[in-house]
Amino acid sequence: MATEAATQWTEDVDQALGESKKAKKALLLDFTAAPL
Amino acid sequence: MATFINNNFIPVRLHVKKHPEAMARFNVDWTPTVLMVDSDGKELHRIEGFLPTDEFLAQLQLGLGHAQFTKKNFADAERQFRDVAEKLPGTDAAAEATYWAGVSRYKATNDGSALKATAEAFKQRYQSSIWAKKASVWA
Repeated sequence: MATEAATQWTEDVDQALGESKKAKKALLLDFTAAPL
Repeated sequence: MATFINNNFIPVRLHVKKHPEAMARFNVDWTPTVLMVDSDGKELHRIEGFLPTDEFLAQLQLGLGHAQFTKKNFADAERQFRDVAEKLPGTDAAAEATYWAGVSRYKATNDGSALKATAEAFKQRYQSSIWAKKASVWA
C-alpha cells in the first residue's frame, strides 16, 4: 500500500528563506499552538 | 497534502510558545495562521483559522495563483486559479479562483471578453458569492 510522505517541517525561518531562494519556492509558515 | 506542500513550498512550523519572535516578525496574532511568503519574507497569502483539508488545499493553490499574478505571470496564475475552480469546485475558494482566473486571462490577453465570460460564468455558479457581485459589473 502506498503511503504519503510526511511534511518536511523545519523551525529555522532564516535558513528556510535561504532554501526558498535556491529552490525558487515560497515559504509556508505554519503558526500553531497545538502540541508538537 | 504533505506531498503537495513538500513539492511547492519550504515548510516551516512555528509553535507560539517556542517562537514568539516569529509571531511578531510576521504580524501573527492568532493561531492557526498559515502564511505564504516569498524568499525576501514578503507575505503573499494568509490563511487564518482552521480549515478542512479540501478548503486548505484550495487556499494554498489560490495563494500560488496570487503569487504568480503578483509576478505578472498571468498565464501561470490563470492555470492555478482554474485548477482550484475545476478540481475543488465545492470549496469557498472556488468562487474567488473563478474571479481571478478571469482577471488573469484579461491581464494576459488584454481582451475584455475574458471579463464578460467570467461574469457570465457567475450566472451559472456561485451566484450568491461576493465574487459574483464583484464580477457583475463586467456583464
